[in-house]
Amino acid sequence: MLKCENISKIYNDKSWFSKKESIKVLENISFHLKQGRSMGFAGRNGAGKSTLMRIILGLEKAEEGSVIFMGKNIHSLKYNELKNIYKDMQVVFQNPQSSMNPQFTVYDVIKEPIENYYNYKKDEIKDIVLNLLSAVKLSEDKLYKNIMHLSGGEQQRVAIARALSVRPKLLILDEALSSLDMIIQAEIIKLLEELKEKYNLSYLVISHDIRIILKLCDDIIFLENGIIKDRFFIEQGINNPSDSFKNMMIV
Amino acid sequence: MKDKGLIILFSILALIILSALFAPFIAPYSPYEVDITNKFAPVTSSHILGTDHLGRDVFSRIIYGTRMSLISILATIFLVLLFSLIVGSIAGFRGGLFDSILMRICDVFLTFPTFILALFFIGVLGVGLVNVIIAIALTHWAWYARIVRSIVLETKQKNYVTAAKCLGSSRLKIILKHIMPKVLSQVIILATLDLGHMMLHVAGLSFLGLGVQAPTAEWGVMINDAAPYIREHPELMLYPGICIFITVAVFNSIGEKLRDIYEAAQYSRESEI
Repeated sequence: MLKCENISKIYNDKSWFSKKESIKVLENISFHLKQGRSMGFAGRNGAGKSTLMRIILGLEKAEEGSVIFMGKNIHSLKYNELKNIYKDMQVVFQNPQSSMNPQFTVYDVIKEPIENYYNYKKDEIKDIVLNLLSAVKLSEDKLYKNIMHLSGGEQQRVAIARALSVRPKLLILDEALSSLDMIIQAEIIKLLEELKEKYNLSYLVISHDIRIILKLCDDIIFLENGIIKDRFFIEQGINNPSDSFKNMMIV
Repeated sequence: MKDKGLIILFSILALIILSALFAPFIAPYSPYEVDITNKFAPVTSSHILGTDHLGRDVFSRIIYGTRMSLISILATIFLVLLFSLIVGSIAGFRGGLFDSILMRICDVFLTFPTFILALFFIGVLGVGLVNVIIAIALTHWAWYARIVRSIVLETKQKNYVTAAKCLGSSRLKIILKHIMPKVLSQVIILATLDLGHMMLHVAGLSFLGLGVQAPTAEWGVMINDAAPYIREHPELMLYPGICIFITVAVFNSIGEKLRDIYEAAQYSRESEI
């Protein structure tokens, strides 16, 4: 479904007087995510996980390599063509507060993608939104509440509902649970496991917390300083992990 | 709306707007009815503010003048916002060469003193109210365009705009739904602060005989008409002057109050995050 080949990303530090500095953020990242499987990217802060996500989403261009999603090279697509990609690939961002317009209500937030892809009438949209709210276990009376008046966990549920509204095949979770406390994390992980069954989803989980990845994913890729350090299939067990990976497991 | 000052200001504004809307019902005489035998009539019960050099009722002329002033500044502000919102949001959203070219054009407009530039445009376009409106709009839009651009640039970086892109929203939809509400709320406050200033411009140009033309009831024209008789009847200049003063002051104070409220709301929202 999603195939990345030899992705490299270089940030050039453009300054007039000092030497040109270029920092390699990602180097030779290749992986292949098959339909129905889920993959996790683990790594410390600054390992290049979020940059990789932005490249997969087509928000940034990579210097080298290609991202092929369902047979289409994402980086050769124009703005309007990317829209069709986002029908099948959705994302839940790191910080739920900043990824939703603070002036919107829950209803406004969730209906935005529905309006973009389908031509439903108003009351049909409302039904869909209510269904999605119950799918992410939010009560109906939150429908017309301002997004800023919800708790962090509720906001993240709204973000998940918004991403699911177009029935994607791949859902990217970029540190989606990091800002939540342990109990709510556990609740949302349970919810995500249920949704995976219900909607036949694949996840691409980006996290510095390996436990979340172990729960949700079939494959793990461990990134360090922009290169793939380790990669495991969870059913085969984790064999010969590198030292830094062990350190992360302990934490 | 617990602010007492704001309530008072809005009721004065409502009074001004109502007198403009219902001018024919409020004014006791036609503003153009000349009665040369009764010129410079003193304040009496039949002529509340007396009559001018042609015997026209001053009170009626002032009421009708409200219409002219409000229409002219509303048209001006509409043109200014239309221009600056289009230019500013395109420049901010597209960026690159487009942005640079548009902003250099803005720079050119900003270098000239506004009144001189307005005089120049009237010189080219000719005398008249419509031309005055166009001239004032042309001299003010650049400043607004820059502000719009900077707000667009700031909002464009927000995560929710990136998120909207990933939800398949078109560029136009992102501008209209996510960026414009923020731009408008700030620009409208600025515009309210500027309304008084623009009104002075219109009245000033009319006073110079470049804007609204003579028989029309307009405050600037009335001051101009009364100017030759300043020694004998200074009150004829005073009445429209007070009207201009009150209206400008009301607009400025409302603008300042709105700005304070907006900033307080912005601050509390940011501290919430």
